Amino acid sequence: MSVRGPALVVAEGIARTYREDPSRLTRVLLRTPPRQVTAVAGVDLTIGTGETLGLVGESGSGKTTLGRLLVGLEPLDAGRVIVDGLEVGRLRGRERRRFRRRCQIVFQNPYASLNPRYSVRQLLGVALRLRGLRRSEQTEHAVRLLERVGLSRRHLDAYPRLLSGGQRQRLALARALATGARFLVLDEPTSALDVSIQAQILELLVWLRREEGLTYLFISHNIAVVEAISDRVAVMRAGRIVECGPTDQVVRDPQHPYTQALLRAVPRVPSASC
Amino acid sequence: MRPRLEVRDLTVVGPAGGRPVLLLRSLSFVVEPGEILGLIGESGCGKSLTLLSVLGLLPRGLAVQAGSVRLDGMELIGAPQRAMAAIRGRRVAIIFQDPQNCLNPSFTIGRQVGEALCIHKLARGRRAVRDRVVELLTEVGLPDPEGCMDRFPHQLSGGMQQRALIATALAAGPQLLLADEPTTALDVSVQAQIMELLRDVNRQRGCSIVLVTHDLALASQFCDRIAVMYAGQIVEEGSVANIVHRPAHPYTQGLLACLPMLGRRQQLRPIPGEIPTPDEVLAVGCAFAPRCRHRLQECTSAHIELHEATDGHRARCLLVRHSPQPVGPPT
Amino acid sequence: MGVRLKDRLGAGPTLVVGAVVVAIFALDALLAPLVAPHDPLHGELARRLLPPVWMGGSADYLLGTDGLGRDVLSRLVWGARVSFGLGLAGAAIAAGVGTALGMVAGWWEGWLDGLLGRLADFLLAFPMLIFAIGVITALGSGFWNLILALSLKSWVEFMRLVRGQVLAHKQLVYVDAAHALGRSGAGILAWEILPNIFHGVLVLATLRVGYLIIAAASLSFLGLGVQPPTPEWGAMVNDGRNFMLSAWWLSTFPGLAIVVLVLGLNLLSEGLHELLDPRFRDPGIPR
Repeated sequence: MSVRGPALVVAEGIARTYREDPSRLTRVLLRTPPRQVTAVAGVDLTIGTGETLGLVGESGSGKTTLGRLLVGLEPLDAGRVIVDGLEVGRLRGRERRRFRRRCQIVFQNPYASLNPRYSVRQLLGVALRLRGLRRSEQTEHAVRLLERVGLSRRHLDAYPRLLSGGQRQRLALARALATGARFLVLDEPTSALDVSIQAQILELLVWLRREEGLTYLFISHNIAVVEAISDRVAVMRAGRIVECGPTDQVVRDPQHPYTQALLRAVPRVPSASC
Repeated sequence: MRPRLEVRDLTVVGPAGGRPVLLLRSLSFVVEPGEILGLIGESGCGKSLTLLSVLGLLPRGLAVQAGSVRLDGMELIGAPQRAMAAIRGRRVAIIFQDPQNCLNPSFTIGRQVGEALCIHKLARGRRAVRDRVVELLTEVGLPDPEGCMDRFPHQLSGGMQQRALIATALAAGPQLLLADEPTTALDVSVQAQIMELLRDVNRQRGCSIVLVTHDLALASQFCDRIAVMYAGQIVEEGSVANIVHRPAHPYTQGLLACLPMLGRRQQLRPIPGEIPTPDEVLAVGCAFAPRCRHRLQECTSAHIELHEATDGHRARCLLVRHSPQPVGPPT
Repeated sequence: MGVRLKDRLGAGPTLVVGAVVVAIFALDALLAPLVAPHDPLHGELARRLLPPVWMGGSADYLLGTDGLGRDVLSRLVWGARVSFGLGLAGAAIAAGVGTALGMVAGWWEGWLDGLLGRLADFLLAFPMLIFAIGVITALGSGFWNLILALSLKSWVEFMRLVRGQVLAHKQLVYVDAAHALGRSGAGILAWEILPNIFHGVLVLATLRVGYLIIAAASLSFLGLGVQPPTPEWGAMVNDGRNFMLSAWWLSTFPGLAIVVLVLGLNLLSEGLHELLDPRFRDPGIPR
């Protein structure tokens, strides 16, 4: 399993379990036992600088939780995550918040991830201010970011609800870049978008990665989309990574039976026979 | 043979910012008995709205301005509510995208499937209804149909819920099944099973299906014919092979070029620009023209008809009129 | 494009009607010294129990005079100051306290949330008036004690509303995004969540102003609220009780004032709800 470039993100044996504790009343009356759901069960992962690792899995496989663990949005139950030489779990309070800015997460639903009460200028301003930019520099910086992601100065005072899904996802990307992050977890960033818009965002992601030297963890249930953007692919099932390797190899010659079944189920355009 | 469903010049208007806009613009298509037609398009193109107009279930504020919808020759537009209620479920049934929202969480599966039977008075008596429901649940491939009868929706997985909904839809023996993105909320492996089931239903019952989806690959595997919609219009229709391998409309070509497809690590070529909202669509000319690479001068001024490229393969594009050959390869 | 404010106002006459009614009373209360034709406390016994002008009274006393010869209109005008003031102050204190506690309870949950929840259950078990009577008996009557008695129970609704909203918003993705940006918990609460739930607080507060005006009037009617000779609508209704048959105007006009103002506040609240709730915005076209 080769990693391109020096490792930027290293996860070792990370695990996360959710406990669903029913209230005492339901426990007594309905005899509901407390349930433990293991979302991530001991995952090792390395992502090289400038690399895109695709993470595929079906719903409930734990791929979203894994992404959240890597950016420190969830506490680790076991293992450790090192991003750019810093161990996530050891940081507290202000340090931890500062760390968070090195890695950002872009969510699936661009309608929900942007606070509807803020204009584009304010949304970017928050990220820029937390990074320490003065108010006077913010506008100029915000415009530059918007232009990077294919928006422009005229979007500065728009509110998210006036933007299309694709534009919102561009804005979410601009906000992630505003923090100066070098590692982005992209959690199904195109699943809520139409095919023609999805292709635009994928193209933008590829371009940004090259221009800004970014590293991606690209999470998706759609293996065809992952194939289009990733250098390597990891296949996740029930909290574990069952197969991981260079994209071509995994797609052409899957080793694990689960990967094989997953690939068989993907609808394909019939080949030209007539 | 008379077509099962014949939609002619269907025009639906709705309000946008206080003024009426056209949501469906003179839509025409035909579904033959036993045929599976795929309606393909991106969000806002009117594909789901088309299904709702067929059922006479347009949301408030929307109205059919012109056109006709004939089911086995019977006109549905303007039919009285009572007649429509007798047709819905009995002769046309619909399944939706999200099975979880379509099942009532407080009633058992058996009761909800049985209800469809009782409404159309197809079974009388507890025993008869129960037997019929078990038959239906068996037909849609639910494991342990007897046990499923008494379970509540939340006790079933998404795929099983969708199977239960399909059973509900089939209960009254409709000859036309409308499927609105039936697998979008499901995982790929479950999607494959549900599509398999729908194909069985089509073969064994001879029931026509209209599959609405945004997934061209899925439709190309499952359908007999495909109609591609853009901005409330059908821009291209034809056999699967024609649409997928010899697309004539630049929009279809664009969709194919930007659709990630397994195993052919192609460079995705996005269609530039945004999908127009109904109030942005030009009154004359081609709705796709602003995003089109092959745009001609007349594209924004002339009225553009569906032009026949080859037999049964038609595209709403001037380029097809100019040269019956497809314009450029899709890849 | 977004719907313009004008269009949105046009869509909801409730807001306009409510706002106009409330604005009239508010101006009335603010400008009482200028609006009132007479001194509300000074009475001339010689002119006692004059009927309203259209029933043969004097044009000097449009709504007649009371048993002590004081001008009913002037007392109504000055009474707006007291009644409206009571309602506003009570609701403002309740909203402030309730919102703050609700945010704390919803965000950090834990034992404090449990404690506040039980306290809320306890307070809600009392009928408003009985509770207020108890407080006033303990503290004595008067303007500020009345406000205290009213807001001491009213904050509970605000706390419950805000707590529930914070709990719901905490799960939303934009809050995750704010965490990822490195915002602190208090920062997210104040700058991300509060702007999204504030409209609900405002709508409830408007509604509560009306409710507290009624409660305050009821207490004054019972003689527990604002003490005479301060003009207060509830007390005025009570004063007129003895003259119900001979001088109906004494109780009717303050009663009407309460009804109209509370109705206006309710309409305003409903209108604000439609104006501010994002769900009512940009109906758009189904896609």
